[in-house]
Amino acid sequence: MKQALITALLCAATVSWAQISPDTTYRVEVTTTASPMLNFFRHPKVPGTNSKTSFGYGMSVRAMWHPARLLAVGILTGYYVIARDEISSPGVSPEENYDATLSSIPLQLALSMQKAGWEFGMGIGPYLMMTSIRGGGSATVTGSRLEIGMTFFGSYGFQLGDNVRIGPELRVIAFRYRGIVSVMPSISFRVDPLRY
Amino acid sequence: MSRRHTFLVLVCLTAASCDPRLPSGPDILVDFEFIDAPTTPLSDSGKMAMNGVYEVVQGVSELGNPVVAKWAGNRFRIASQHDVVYSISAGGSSGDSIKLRGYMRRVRSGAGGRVRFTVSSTDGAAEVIAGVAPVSLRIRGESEAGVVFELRRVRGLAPSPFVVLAHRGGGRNSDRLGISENSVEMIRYAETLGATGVEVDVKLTRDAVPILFHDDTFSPRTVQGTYLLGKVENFDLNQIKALGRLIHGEQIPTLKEAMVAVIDETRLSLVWLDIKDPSAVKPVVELQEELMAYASGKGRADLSILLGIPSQDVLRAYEPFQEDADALVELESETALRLPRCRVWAPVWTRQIDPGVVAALRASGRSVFTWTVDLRESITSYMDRVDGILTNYPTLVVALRDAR
Repeated sequence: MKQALITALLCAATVSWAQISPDTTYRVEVTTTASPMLNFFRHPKVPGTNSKTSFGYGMSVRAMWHPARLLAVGILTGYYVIARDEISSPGVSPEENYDATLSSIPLQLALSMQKAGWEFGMGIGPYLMMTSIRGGGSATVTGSRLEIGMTFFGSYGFQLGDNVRIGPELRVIAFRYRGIVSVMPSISFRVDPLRY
Repeated sequence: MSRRHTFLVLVCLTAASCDPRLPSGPDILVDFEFIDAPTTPLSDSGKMAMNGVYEVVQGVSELGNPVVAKWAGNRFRIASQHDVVYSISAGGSSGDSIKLRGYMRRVRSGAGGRVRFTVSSTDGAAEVIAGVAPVSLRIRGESEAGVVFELRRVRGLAPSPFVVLAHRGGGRNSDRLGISENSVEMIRYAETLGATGVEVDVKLTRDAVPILFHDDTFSPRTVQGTYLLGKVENFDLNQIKALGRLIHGEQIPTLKEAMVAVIDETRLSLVWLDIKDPSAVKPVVELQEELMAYASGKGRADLSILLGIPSQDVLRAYEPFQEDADALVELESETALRLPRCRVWAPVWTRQIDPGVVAALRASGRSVFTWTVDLRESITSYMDRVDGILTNYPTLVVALRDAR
Protein backbone atom coordinates (compact mmCIF):
# COMPACT_ATOMS: atom_id res chain seq x y z
CA MET A 1 0.00 0.00 0.00
CA LYS A 2 2.83 2.28 0.96
CA GLN A 3 4.70 1.64 -2.30
CA ALA A 4 1.58 2.30 -4.37
CA LEU A 5 1.02 5.51 -2.52
CA ILE A 6 4.59 6.70 -3.04
CA THR A 7 4.44 5.82 -6.72
CA ALA A 8 1.14 7.62 -7.18
CA LEU A 9 2.41 10.73 -5.49
CA LEU A 10 5.66 10.79 -7.38
CA CYS A 11 3.75 10.41 -10.64
CA ALA A 12 1.37 13.17 -9.68
CA ALA A 13 4.22 15.45 -8.73
CA THR A 14 6.17 14.66 -11.86
CA VAL A 15 3.24 15.04 -14.20
CA SER A 16 2.10 18.27 -12.63
CA TRP A 17 5.63 19.66 -12.70
CA ALA A 18 6.15 18.66 -16.31
CA GLN A 19 2.84 19.79 -17.73
CA ILE A 20 1.51 23.27 -17.44
CA SER A 21 -2.17 23.43 -18.28
CA PRO A 22 -2.76 25.37 -21.51
CA ASP A 23 -5.60 27.12 -19.63
CA THR A 24 -3.89 29.73 -17.45
CA THR A 25 -7.07 30.49 -15.53
CA TYR A 26 -6.77 30.10 -11.78
CA ARG A 27 -9.97 28.91 -10.16
CA VAL A 28 -11.53 27.72 -6.95
CA GLU A 29 -13.77 24.73 -7.43
CA VAL A 30 -16.32 23.52 -4.90
CA THR A 31 -17.50 19.93 -5.18
CA THR A 32 -20.41 18.52 -3.20
CA THR A 33 -21.44 14.89 -3.03
CA ALA A 34 -24.12 12.89 -1.29
CA SER A 35 -24.11 9.14 -1.25
CA PRO A 36 -24.71 5.86 0.46
CA MET A 37 -21.79 4.35 2.30
CA LEU A 38 -20.77 0.71 2.55
CA ASN A 39 -18.44 0.07 5.46
CA PHE A 40 -16.18 -2.87 6.23
CA PHE A 41 -14.83 -3.37 9.74
CA ARG A 42 -11.68 -5.27 10.69
CA HIS A 43 -13.28 -6.44 13.94
CA PRO A 44 -16.95 -6.99 14.76
CA LYS A 45 -18.67 -3.71 15.56
CA VAL A 46 -19.97 -5.08 18.83
CA PRO A 47 -17.83 -7.68 20.63
CA GLY A 48 -19.57 -11.02 20.86
CA THR A 49 -21.29 -10.55 17.50
CA ASN A 50 -20.16 -11.37 13.97
CA SER A 51 -21.24 -8.21 12.19
CA LYS A 52 -18.35 -6.61 10.30
CA THR A 53 -20.25 -4.51 7.78
CA SER A 54 -22.63 -1.60 7.92
CA PHE A 55 -24.61 0.54 5.55
CA GLY A 56 -24.51 4.28 6.12
CA TYR A 57 -24.69 7.54 4.25
CA GLY A 58 -22.88 10.81 3.98
CA MET A 59 -22.31 14.09 2.26
CA SER A 60 -19.08 15.92 1.62
CA VAL A 61 -17.80 19.27 0.44
CA ARG A 62 -14.44 19.78 -1.22
CA ALA A 63 -12.98 23.20 -2.05
CA MET A 64 -9.97 22.99 -4.35
CA TRP A 65 -7.67 25.69 -5.63
CA HIS A 66 -6.61 25.01 -9.19
CA PRO A 67 -3.60 27.05 -10.25
CA ALA A 68 -2.45 26.71 -13.81
CA ARG A 69 -1.14 23.23 -13.11
CA LEU A 70 -2.58 19.74 -13.07
CA LEU A 71 -2.16 19.46 -9.31
CA ALA A 72 -4.75 21.17 -7.13
CA VAL A 73 -4.87 21.60 -3.39
CA GLY A 74 -7.75 22.23 -1.07
CA ILE A 75 -9.77 21.15 1.92
CA LEU A 76 -12.27 18.39 2.38
CA THR A 77 -15.02 18.08 4.94
CA GLY A 78 -18.47 16.59 5.31
CA TYR A 79 -20.52 14.36 7.56
CA TYR A 80 -20.82 10.59 7.42
CA VAL A 81 -23.09 8.28 9.37
CA ILE A 82 -21.00 5.14 9.35
CA ALA A 83 -22.89 2.66 11.48
CA ARG A 84 -25.97 2.33 13.62
CA ASP A 85 -26.86 -0.63 15.81
CA GLU A 86 -29.34 -1.67 18.43
CA ILE A 87 -27.39 -3.42 21.13
CA SER A 88 -28.61 -5.42 24.05
CA SER A 89 -26.47 -6.26 27.00
CA PRO A 90 -26.95 -9.96 27.71
CA GLY A 91 -25.20 -11.16 30.80
CA VAL A 92 -25.33 -7.70 32.26
CA SER A 93 -27.86 -7.10 34.99
CA PRO A 94 -30.23 -5.40 34.49
CA GLU A 95 -30.36 -6.12 30.75
CA GLU A 96 -30.69 -2.93 28.78
CA ASN A 97 -30.99 -1.99 25.11
CA TYR A 98 -29.00 0.77 23.48
CA ASP A 99 -29.23 2.60 20.18
CA ALA A 100 -25.66 3.35 19.10
CA THR A 101 -24.45 5.51 16.22
CA LEU A 102 -20.98 6.07 14.84
CA SER A 103 -20.44 9.13 12.67
CA SER A 104 -17.53 11.14 11.36
CA ILE A 105 -16.51 14.57 10.13
CA PRO A 106 -13.44 14.73 7.89
CA LEU A 107 -11.12 17.69 8.37
CA GLN A 108 -8.60 17.00 5.65
CA LEU A 109 -6.12 18.51 3.28
CA ALA A 110 -6.99 17.42 -0.26
CA LEU A 111 -4.78 17.01 -3.30
CA SER A 112 -6.03 16.16 -6.76
CA MET A 113 -5.24 16.11 -10.45
CA GLN A 114 -7.79 17.08 -13.03
CA LYS A 115 -7.68 16.67 -16.78
CA ALA A 116 -10.34 16.46 -19.47
CA GLY A 117 -13.13 16.23 -16.92
CA TRP A 118 -11.48 13.48 -14.86
CA GLU A 119 -10.34 14.14 -11.33
CA PHE A 120 -8.35 11.85 -9.06
CA GLY A 121 -7.19 12.81 -5.64
CA MET A 122 -6.79 12.10 -1.99
CA GLY A 123 -7.49 13.65 1.36
CA ILE A 124 -5.07 13.35 4.25
CA GLY A 125 -5.69 14.35 7.81
CA PRO A 126 -7.92 13.82 10.78
CA TYR A 127 -11.44 12.62 11.08
CA LEU A 128 -13.53 13.61 14.05
CA MET A 129 -15.05 10.28 15.04
CA MET A 130 -18.21 10.60 17.11
CA THR A 131 -20.40 8.14 18.92
CA SER A 132 -23.84 8.53 20.41
CA ILE A 133 -25.47 6.00 22.73
CA ARG A 134 -29.14 6.29 23.61
CA GLY A 135 -31.36 4.13 25.73
CA GLY A 136 -30.98 1.86 28.71
CA GLY A 137 -32.84 4.32 30.88
CA SER A 138 -29.83 6.59 31.11
CA ALA A 139 -28.93 9.91 29.57
CA THR A 140 -27.51 9.96 26.06
CA VAL A 141 -23.78 9.41 25.94
CA THR A 142 -21.66 11.13 23.37
CA GLY A 143 -17.99 10.65 22.74
CA SER A 144 -15.57 11.96 20.18
CA ARG A 145 -11.98 11.51 19.12
CA LEU A 146 -9.73 12.86 16.38
CA GLU A 147 -8.14 10.06 14.37
CA ILE A 148 -6.04 10.08 11.23
CA GLY A 149 -7.59 8.75 8.03
CA MET A 150 -7.20 8.88 4.28
CA THR A 151 -9.71 9.51 1.52
CA PHE A 152 -9.24 8.52 -2.11
CA PHE A 153 -11.60 9.83 -4.75
CA GLY A 154 -12.04 9.61 -8.48
CA SER A 155 -14.70 11.29 -10.57
CA TYR A 156 -15.74 12.49 -13.97
CA GLY A 157 -17.61 15.75 -14.58
CA PHE A 158 -19.95 16.34 -17.49
CA GLN A 159 -19.99 20.04 -18.39
CA LEU A 160 -23.40 21.61 -17.75
CA GLY A 161 -22.40 25.20 -18.20
CA ASP A 162 -19.29 27.34 -18.13
CA ASN A 163 -18.70 26.80 -14.45
CA VAL A 164 -20.81 23.78 -13.57
CA ARG A 165 -20.10 20.08 -13.90
CA ILE A 166 -21.93 16.99 -12.71
CA GLY A 167 -20.97 13.36 -12.77
CA PRO A 168 -20.22 10.16 -10.90
CA GLU A 169 -17.67 9.97 -8.11
CA LEU A 170 -16.27 7.00 -6.24
CA ARG A 171 -14.70 7.55 -2.87
CA VAL A 172 -12.79 5.09 -0.67
CA ILE A 173 -12.07 6.08 2.91
CA ALA A 174 -9.56 4.34 5.15
CA PHE A 175 -10.19 4.95 8.83
CA ARG A 176 -6.96 3.11 9.40
CA TYR A 177 -6.63 3.55 13.14
CA ARG A 178 -10.15 2.29 13.69
CA GLY A 179 -9.92 -0.54 11.15
CA ILE A 180 -12.73 0.63 8.88
CA VAL A 181 -12.75 0.91 5.09
CA SER A 182 -15.68 2.68 3.48
CA VAL A 183 -16.82 2.82 -0.13
CA MET A 184 -19.04 5.69 -1.29
CA PRO A 185 -20.42 5.75 -4.84
CA SER A 186 -22.02 9.13 -5.43
CA ILE A 187 -23.00 11.91 -7.75
CA SER A 188 -20.80 14.98 -7.52
CA PHE A 189 -21.80 18.52 -8.33
CA ARG A 190 -18.91 20.87 -9.16
CA VAL A 191 -19.04 24.63 -9.32
CA ASP A 192 -16.34 27.26 -9.88
CA PRO A 193 -17.38 30.18 -7.67
CA LEU A 194 -14.15 32.01 -8.40
CA ARG A 195 -12.03 32.34 -11.53
CA TYR A 196 -9.19 34.74 -12.09
CA MET B 1 11.02 17.80 -7.64
CA SER B 2 10.08 21.11 -5.99
CA ARG B 3 10.23 21.61 -2.26
CA ARG B 4 6.43 21.64 -2.15
CA HIS B 5 6.23 18.27 -3.82
CA THR B 6 8.92 16.85 -1.57
CA PHE B 7 7.05 18.06 1.46
CA LEU B 8 3.83 16.48 0.26
CA VAL B 9 5.56 13.16 -0.37
CA LEU B 10 7.04 13.22 3.12
CA VAL B 11 3.67 14.00 4.68
CA CYS B 12 2.11 11.11 2.88
CA LEU B 13 4.90 8.74 3.80
CA THR B 14 4.45 9.68 7.42
CA ALA B 15 0.71 9.22 7.30
CA ALA B 16 1.03 5.92 5.51
CA SER B 17 3.53 4.62 8.02
CA CYS B 18 1.38 5.27 11.05
CA ASP B 19 0.48 1.89 12.38
CA PRO B 20 -0.94 1.55 15.86
CA ARG B 21 -0.08 -2.11 16.07
CA LEU B 22 3.13 -3.17 17.78
CA PRO B 23 5.44 -5.64 16.04
CA SER B 24 4.80 -9.06 17.43
CA GLY B 25 6.20 -12.49 16.97
CA PRO B 26 4.35 -15.61 16.00
CA ASP B 27 1.08 -16.32 17.72
CA ILE B 28 1.80 -18.80 20.42
CA LEU B 29 -1.23 -20.72 21.44
CA VAL B 30 -0.28 -23.37 23.88
CA ASP B 31 -3.05 -25.55 25.17
CA PHE B 32 -1.69 -26.01 28.64
CA GLU B 33 -4.65 -28.12 29.68
CA PHE B 34 -3.84 -30.57 26.90
CA ILE B 35 -0.21 -30.63 27.98
CA ASP B 36 -1.14 -31.28 31.58
CA ALA B 37 -3.42 -34.15 30.67
CA PRO B 38 -1.00 -36.95 29.68
CA THR B 39 1.31 -36.32 32.66
CA THR B 40 0.96 -36.68 36.39
CA PRO B 41 1.42 -33.47 38.36
CA LEU B 42 4.48 -33.34 40.55
CA SER B 43 4.14 -33.06 44.30
CA ASP B 44 4.89 -29.77 46.03
CA SER B 45 8.15 -31.14 47.36
CA GLY B 46 9.05 -32.38 43.90
CA LYS B 47 8.41 -28.93 42.47
CA MET B 48 10.51 -27.39 45.19
CA ALA B 49 13.30 -29.79 44.32
CA MET B 50 13.25 -28.44 40.75
CA ASN B 51 13.29 -24.79 41.80
CA GLY B 52 16.72 -23.30 41.65
CA VAL B 53 19.51 -21.46 39.90
CA TYR B 54 20.70 -23.36 36.84
CA GLU B 55 23.90 -23.18 34.88
CA VAL B 56 23.17 -23.06 31.16
CA VAL B 57 25.41 -25.72 29.65
CA GLN B 58 23.79 -25.49 26.21
CA GLY B 59 21.67 -22.66 24.88
CA VAL B 60 23.65 -19.78 26.33
CA SER B 61 23.05 -17.69 23.21
CA GLU B 62 19.31 -17.81 23.88
CA LEU B 63 19.18 -17.72 27.67
CA GLY B 64 22.43 -16.29 28.92
CA ASN B 65 23.89 -17.82 32.07
CA PRO B 66 22.66 -18.57 34.70
CA VAL B 67 18.89 -18.81 34.69
CA VAL B 68 16.39 -19.10 37.49
CA ALA B 69 13.70 -21.76 37.33
CA LYS B 70 10.68 -21.95 39.57
CA TRP B 71 7.26 -23.50 39.69
CA ALA B 72 4.36 -21.05 39.99
CA GLY B 73 1.32 -23.22 40.60
CA ASN B 74 1.18 -25.64 37.67
CA ARG B 75 3.52 -23.62 35.47
CA PHE B 76 7.29 -23.97 35.34
CA ARG B 77 9.08 -20.71 34.64
CA ILE B 78 12.66 -20.41 33.42
CA ALA B 79 13.80 -16.81 33.47
CA SER B 80 16.95 -15.35 32.03
CA GLN B 81 18.82 -12.53 33.72
CA HIS B 82 20.65 -11.82 30.49
CA ASP B 83 17.64 -10.23 28.76
CA VAL B 84 13.88 -10.39 28.97
CA VAL B 85 13.77 -13.97 27.81
CA TYR B 86 11.72 -16.55 29.58
CA SER B 87 9.96 -19.84 29.17
CA ILE B 88 6.65 -20.96 30.64
CA SER B 89 5.80 -24.63 30.43
CA ALA B 90 3.52 -27.19 31.98
CA GLY B 91 3.63 -30.89 32.54
CA GLY B 92 4.69 -33.46 35.06
CA SER B 93 5.85 -37.02 35.38
CA SER B 94 5.41 -39.46 32.56
CA GLY B 95 6.73 -42.86 33.50
CA ASP B 96 10.15 -42.36 35.06
CA SER B 97 10.83 -39.02 33.43
CA ILE B 98 9.46 -35.50 33.62
CA LYS B 99 8.04 -33.88 30.49
CA LEU B 100 7.24 -30.22 30.08
CA ARG B 101 5.80 -28.39 27.09
CA GLY B 102 5.34 -24.68 26.66
CA TYR B 103 6.69 -21.59 24.99
CA MET B 104 9.69 -19.34 25.09
CA ARG B 105 9.46 -15.55 24.65
CA ARG B 106 12.03 -12.94 23.78
CA VAL B 107 9.91 -10.03 24.92
CA ARG B 108 11.75 -7.03 23.55
CA SER B 109 11.71 -8.31 19.99
CA GLY B 110 8.37 -10.08 20.19
CA ALA B 111 9.94 -13.32 19.00
CA GLY B 112 9.10 -16.68 20.46
CA GLY B 113 8.15 -20.25 19.85
CA ARG B 114 7.23 -23.53 21.37
CA VAL B 115 9.68 -25.39 23.55
CA ARG B 116 9.88 -28.77 25.24
CA PHE B 117 11.90 -29.87 28.25
CA THR B 118 12.64 -33.29 29.65
CA VAL B 119 14.24 -34.55 32.82
CA SER B 120 15.25 -38.17 32.37
CA SER B 121 15.56 -40.71 35.15
CA THR B 122 19.35 -40.50 34.96
CA ASP B 123 19.23 -36.73 35.23
CA GLY B 124 17.38 -36.69 38.54
CA ALA B 125 13.76 -37.25 37.53
CA ALA B 126 13.31 -40.28 39.79
CA GLU B 127 14.15 -38.29 42.92
CA VAL B 128 12.03 -35.32 41.90
CA ILE B 129 9.04 -37.57 41.21
CA ALA B 130 9.56 -39.11 44.63
CA GLY B 131 9.58 -35.63 46.12
CA VAL B 132 13.19 -35.48 47.24
CA ALA B 133 16.01 -33.23 46.11
CA PRO B 134 18.32 -35.09 43.70
CA VAL B 135 22.07 -34.97 44.01
CA SER B 136 22.26 -33.86 40.40
CA LEU B 137 19.49 -32.41 38.27
CA ARG B 138 19.64 -31.59 34.57
CA ILE B 139 16.90 -30.28 32.34
CA ARG B 140 17.31 -30.87 28.64
CA GLY B 141 15.22 -29.23 25.99
CA GLU B 142 14.75 -28.03 22.47
CA SER B 143 12.95 -25.07 20.99
CA GLU B 144 10.78 -24.98 17.89
CA ALA B 145 13.65 -23.24 16.12
CA GLY B 146 15.98 -26.14 16.89
CA VAL B 147 17.97 -24.54 19.70
CA VAL B 148 19.13 -27.19 22.17
CA PHE B 149 19.11 -26.47 25.89
CA GLU B 150 20.84 -28.15 28.80
CA LEU B 151 20.47 -26.70 32.27
CA ARG B 152 22.31 -27.97 35.33
CA ARG B 153 20.93 -27.11 38.74
CA VAL B 154 23.54 -25.34 40.83
CA ARG B 155 21.65 -24.39 43.97
CA GLY B 156 18.22 -23.86 45.44
CA LEU B 157 16.38 -20.57 45.85
CA ALA B 158 16.50 -18.58 49.06
CA PRO B 159 13.30 -16.69 49.91
CA SER B 160 13.59 -12.99 49.24
CA PRO B 161 11.38 -10.23 50.59
CA PHE B 162 12.10 -8.03 47.57
CA VAL B 163 8.77 -7.12 45.99
CA VAL B 164 8.28 -7.48 42.25
CA LEU B 165 5.28 -5.53 41.00
CA ALA B 166 3.94 -6.09 37.49
CA HIS B 167 2.98 -2.89 35.72
CA ARG B 168 -0.67 -2.62 34.56
CA GLY B 169 -1.36 -6.08 35.84
CA GLY B 170 1.33 -7.82 33.85
CA GLY B 171 3.66 -5.44 32.11
CA ARG B 172 4.75 -5.47 28.49
CA ASN B 173 3.84 -9.08 28.22
CA SER B 174 0.28 -7.97 27.53
CA ASP B 175 1.33 -6.55 24.16
CA ARG B 176 2.59 -9.87 22.91
CA LEU B 177 0.93 -12.60 24.87
CA GLY B 178 -2.56 -11.97 23.66
CA ILE B 179 -3.73 -10.98 27.12
CA SER B 180 -4.81 -7.38 27.71
CA GLU B 181 -3.27 -5.05 30.26
CA ASN B 182 -5.42 -4.30 33.31
CA SER B 183 -7.48 -7.45 32.79
CA VAL B 184 -8.38 -10.17 35.27
CA GLU B 185 -6.71 -12.65 32.92
CA MET B 186 -3.44 -10.72 33.01
CA ILE B 187 -3.56 -10.35 36.79
CA ARG B 188 -3.96 -14.12 37.08
CA TYR B 189 -0.92 -14.55 34.84
CA ALA B 190 1.29 -12.06 36.72
CA GLU B 191 2.18 -14.69 39.32
CA THR B 192 3.29 -17.09 36.62
CA LEU B 193 5.65 -14.37 35.40
CA GLY B 194 7.15 -14.09 38.87
CA ALA B 195 5.37 -11.03 40.21
CA THR B 196 4.55 -10.84 43.90
CA GLY B 197 2.17 -7.95 43.32
CA VAL B 198 0.51 -5.91 40.59
CA GLU B 199 -0.11 -2.28 39.82
CA VAL B 200 -3.45 -1.56 38.16
CA ASP B 201 -5.01 1.65 36.90
CA VAL B 202 -8.40 2.73 38.16
CA LYS B 203 -10.93 4.95 36.43
CA LEU B 204 -14.44 5.92 37.41
CA THR B 205 -17.44 5.39 35.16
CA ARG B 206 -20.22 7.91 34.86
CA ASP B 207 -22.25 5.96 37.45
CA ALA B 208 -19.27 6.04 39.84
CA VAL B 209 -18.14 2.45 39.50
CA PRO B 210 -14.34 1.99 39.67
CA ILE B 211 -13.05 -0.02 36.70
CA LEU B 212 -9.59 -1.09 35.64
CA PHE B 213 -8.48 1.06 32.72
CA HIS B 214 -5.38 3.14 32.07
CA ASP B 215 -6.21 5.75 29.42
CA ASP B 216 -8.52 8.70 29.80
CA THR B 217 -10.33 7.70 26.61
CA PHE B 218 -11.38 4.49 24.91
CA SER B 219 -9.50 3.93 21.65
CA PRO B 220 -8.62 1.11 19.25
CA ARG B 221 -5.30 0.75 21.09
CA THR B 222 -6.99 -0.63 24.17
CA VAL B 223 -10.52 -1.74 23.36
CA GLN B 224 -12.60 -3.57 20.79
CA GLY B 225 -16.01 -2.10 20.03
CA THR B 226 -16.83 0.46 17.41
CA TYR B 227 -19.12 2.49 19.65
CA LEU B 228 -16.86 2.69 22.69
CA LEU B 229 -15.13 5.93 21.90
CA GLY B 230 -14.13 8.97 23.90
CA LYS B 231 -13.78 9.65 27.61
CA VAL B 232 -14.23 6.78 30.04
CA GLU B 233 -16.17 8.99 32.43
CA ASN B 234 -18.89 9.57 29.81
CA PHE B 235 -20.10 5.94 29.97
CA ASP B 236 -22.04 3.95 32.52
CA LEU B 237 -20.71 0.56 33.52
CA ASN B 238 -23.49 -1.35 31.71
CA GLN B 239 -22.76 0.55 28.51
CA ILE B 240 -19.06 -0.24 28.77
CA LYS B 241 -19.80 -3.92 29.33
CA ALA B 242 -22.29 -4.04 26.44
CA LEU B 243 -20.35 -2.02 23.88
CA GLY B 244 -16.77 -3.06 24.32
CA ARG B 245 -14.10 -5.46 25.37
CA LEU B 246 -10.41 -5.05 26.04
CA ILE B 247 -8.21 -5.32 22.97
CA HIS B 248 -7.74 -9.07 23.27
CA GLY B 249 -11.41 -9.77 23.95
CA GLU B 250 -11.60 -9.80 27.73
CA GLN B 251 -14.32 -8.01 29.65
CA ILE B 252 -13.31 -4.64 31.04
CA PRO B 253 -13.26 -5.52 34.74
CA THR B 254 -14.54 -3.55 37.64
CA LEU B 255 -12.07 -3.00 40.44
CA LYS B 256 -14.16 -5.28 42.64
CA GLU B 257 -14.09 -8.11 40.06
CA ALA B 258 -10.35 -7.80 39.71
CA MET B 259 -9.65 -7.74 43.43
CA VAL B 260 -11.92 -10.71 44.12
CA ALA B 261 -9.89 -12.60 41.52
CA VAL B 262 -6.67 -11.56 43.29
CA ILE B 263 -8.04 -12.77 46.62
CA ASP B 264 -9.63 -16.00 45.41
CA GLU B 265 -7.30 -17.11 42.66
CA THR B 266 -3.79 -15.84 43.36
CA ARG B 267 -1.18 -15.59 46.10
CA LEU B 268 -0.22 -12.04 45.13
CA SER B 269 0.59 -10.10 48.29
CA LEU B 270 0.27 -6.49 47.15
CA VAL B 271 -1.96 -4.47 44.83
CA TRP B 272 -1.14 -0.86 43.97
CA LEU B 273 -4.23 1.03 42.83
CA ASP B 274 -3.04 3.80 40.56
CA ILE B 275 -5.70 6.50 40.75
CA LYS B 276 -5.28 9.61 38.62
CA ASP B 277 -8.73 11.10 39.20
CA PRO B 278 -9.46 12.60 42.67
CA SER B 279 -13.17 11.86 42.29
CA ALA B 280 -12.35 8.14 42.32
CA VAL B 281 -10.79 8.25 45.78
CA LYS B 282 -13.96 8.03 47.87
CA PRO B 283 -15.53 5.09 45.98
CA VAL B 284 -12.19 3.29 45.99
CA VAL B 285 -11.69 3.79 49.72
CA GLU B 286 -15.14 2.36 50.41
CA LEU B 287 -14.42 -0.61 48.17
CA GLN B 288 -10.96 -1.09 49.69
CA GLU B 289 -12.48 -1.55 53.14
CA GLU B 290 -14.99 -4.07 51.81
CA LEU B 291 -12.30 -5.99 49.97
CA MET B 292 -9.92 -6.17 52.92
CA ALA B 293 -12.74 -7.63 55.02
CA TYR B 294 -13.39 -10.17 52.26
CA ALA B 295 -9.71 -11.03 52.04
CA SER B 296 -9.48 -11.50 55.79
CA GLY B 297 -12.46 -13.83 55.69
CA LYS B 298 -10.75 -15.86 52.99
CA GLY B 299 -7.56 -16.23 55.00
CA ARG B 300 -5.75 -13.67 52.89
CA ALA B 301 -4.71 -11.28 55.63
CA ASP B 302 -1.30 -11.24 53.93
CA LEU B 303 -2.71 -9.13 51.08
CA SER B 304 -2.18 -5.37 51.00
CA ILE B 305 -4.35 -3.23 48.75
CA LEU B 306 -2.84 0.23 48.63
CA LEU B 307 -4.46 3.37 47.28
CA GLY B 308 -1.83 5.13 45.17
CA ILE B 309 -1.36 8.87 45.63
CA PRO B 310 0.42 10.26 42.56
CA SER B 311 -0.57 13.93 42.79
CA GLN B 312 -1.55 16.72 45.16
CA ASP B 313 -5.14 16.56 43.87
CA VAL B 314 -5.47 12.91 44.81
CA LEU B 315 -3.76 13.62 48.12
CA ARG B 316 -6.33 16.29 48.99
CA ALA B 317 -9.13 13.86 48.13
CA TYR B 318 -7.49 11.15 50.28
CA GLU B 319 -6.85 13.26 53.41
CA PRO B 320 -10.36 12.85 54.89
CA PHE B 321 -9.71 9.08 54.80
CA GLN B 322 -6.10 9.06 55.96
CA GLU B 323 -6.96 7.26 59.21
CA ASP B 324 -8.93 4.55 57.42
CA ALA B 325 -7.29 3.60 54.14
CA ASP B 326 -3.85 2.14 53.44
CA ALA B 327 -1.93 4.14 50.90
CA LEU B 328 1.17 4.28 48.73
CA VAL B 329 2.62 7.72 48.20
CA GLU B 330 4.52 8.77 45.07
CA LEU B 331 5.08 12.35 46.27
CA GLU B 332 7.78 13.64 48.64
CA SER B 333 8.99 11.39 51.43
CA GLU B 334 7.74 13.90 54.02
CA THR B 335 4.20 13.22 52.85
CA ALA B 336 4.76 9.50 53.16
CA LEU B 337 6.01 9.93 56.73
CA ARG B 338 3.15 12.25 57.67
CA LEU B 339 0.26 10.02 56.57
CA PRO B 340 -0.51 7.46 59.29
CA ARG B 341 -1.73 4.75 56.93
CA CYS B 342 0.98 5.16 54.29
CA ARG B 343 2.58 1.75 53.92
CA VAL B 344 4.90 2.48 50.99
CA TRP B 345 6.82 5.44 49.63
CA ALA B 346 7.21 4.94 45.86
CA PRO B 347 9.01 7.77 44.09
CA VAL B 348 9.63 7.62 40.36
CA TRP B 349 13.09 6.27 39.52
CA THR B 350 14.29 9.67 38.28
CA ARG B 351 13.96 11.13 41.74
CA GLN B 352 17.02 10.93 43.95
CA ILE B 353 16.45 8.23 46.54
CA ASP B 354 18.58 9.20 49.51
CA PRO B 355 19.75 6.25 51.66
CA GLY B 356 19.10 8.27 54.80
CA VAL B 357 15.49 8.87 53.75
CA VAL B 358 15.06 5.18 52.95
CA ALA B 359 16.40 4.29 56.40
CA ALA B 360 13.99 6.71 58.06
CA LEU B 361 11.03 5.25 56.21
CA ARG B 362 12.04 1.69 57.00
CA ALA B 363 12.50 2.62 60.67
CA SER B 364 8.91 3.91 60.66
CA GLY B 365 7.66 0.57 59.35
CA ARG B 366 7.20 1.70 55.76
CA SER B 367 8.67 0.19 52.61
CA VAL B 368 10.27 1.95 49.67
CA PHE B 369 9.57 1.04 46.06
CA THR B 370 10.47 2.75 42.81
CA TRP B 371 9.06 2.70 39.28
CA THR B 372 9.10 1.86 36.44
CA VAL B 373 12.43 0.10 36.19
CA ASP B 374 13.15 -2.12 33.17
CA LEU B 375 16.86 -1.91 32.46
CA ARG B 376 19.01 -4.73 33.79
CA GLU B 377 21.67 -2.45 35.27
CA SER B 378 19.09 -0.21 36.93
CA ILE B 379 17.24 -3.19 38.40
CA THR B 380 20.46 -4.54 39.91
CA SER B 381 21.31 -1.12 41.32
CA TYR B 382 17.92 -0.57 42.93
CA MET B 383 17.81 -4.03 44.47
CA ASP B 384 20.39 -2.86 46.99
CA ARG B 385 18.58 0.36 47.77
CA VAL B 386 14.81 -0.21 47.88
CA ASP B 387 12.33 -2.88 48.92
CA GLY B 388 10.55 -3.38 45.62
CA ILE B 389 10.34 -2.42 41.98
CA LEU B 390 7.45 -1.78 39.62
CA THR B 391 8.45 -3.20 36.28
CA ASN B 392 7.22 -4.18 32.85
CA TYR B 393 9.50 -7.22 32.99
CA PRO B 394 8.84 -9.22 36.15
CA THR B 395 10.68 -12.29 34.82
CA LEU B 396 13.90 -10.29 34.47
CA VAL B 397 13.64 -8.82 37.97
CA VAL B 398 12.91 -12.22 39.48
CA ALA B 399 15.87 -13.79 37.68
CA LEU B 400 18.22 -11.06 38.87
CA ARG B 401 16.85 -11.23 42.40
CA ASP B 402 17.00 -14.98 42.82
CA ALA B 403 20.38 -15.48 41.19
CA ARG B 404 22.12 -13.12 43.62
